[in-house]
Amino acid sequence: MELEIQKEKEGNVTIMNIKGAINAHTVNEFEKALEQCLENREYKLLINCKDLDYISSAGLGALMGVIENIKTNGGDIKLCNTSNSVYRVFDILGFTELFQIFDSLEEGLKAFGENE
Amino acid sequence: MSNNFYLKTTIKANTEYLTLINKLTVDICNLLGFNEEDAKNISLAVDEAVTNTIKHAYKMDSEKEIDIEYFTKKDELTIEISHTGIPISPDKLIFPDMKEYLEKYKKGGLGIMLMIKFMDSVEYGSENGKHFCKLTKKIN
Repeated sequence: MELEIQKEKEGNVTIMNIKGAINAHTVNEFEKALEQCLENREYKLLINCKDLDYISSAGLGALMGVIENIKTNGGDIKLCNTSNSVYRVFDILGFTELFQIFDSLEEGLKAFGENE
Repeated sequence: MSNNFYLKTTIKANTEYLTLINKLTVDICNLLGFNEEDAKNISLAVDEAVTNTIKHAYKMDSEKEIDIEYFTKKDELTIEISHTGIPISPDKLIFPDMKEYLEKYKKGGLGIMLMIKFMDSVEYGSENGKHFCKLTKKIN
């Protein structure tokens, strides 16, 4: 599998564990997982990038496709455990202004008001 | 190894090759002495250039072929992605205002931004009936 997505719940936060690469080939699967969260009214998403090899602009587009809906519903998308190279993709385009990135899962949960 | 390195590969215009090309590019960059971060950045730029070729030059026609050539000259790595499809038009080379982009939750057009940010030069052109995107990065 080039991309594996596993979801788990921690309080009212949905943690999305991503393994592999998000590129133009795998992005449909990522979009589907995000859309499913919207359908389930899971508006607080923490994307755990611990095993994310790389994300291309296709993956950033998928996030931009749902963020407005999520924010309108009082939620947010945050990321954690990004590698230096994944962080740099977000940072270099200014996406860190829109998506907070945390060093650990615990910090990400704390930012959503969980795990305090 | 960085002197006169040359490798050419041809893939079908199918996104299923993207991860493979990404790994190949990282390995080549490591071999040439790029640090891990540069290797990942360069491979992402190649991913974006190949994706653009599949989507825009060939309109997702997976029977078409894309040539990818890696070569070094002096202390530079050049990666040339070439095709015989629709050449990129200058109006596609508009760089979004990122402040407005993020405020209005826009989509698309970021691939070329990443290529420009991560490479020393990005050049588009045509030669002998083929159209190319040439990515260059100085070897540390």
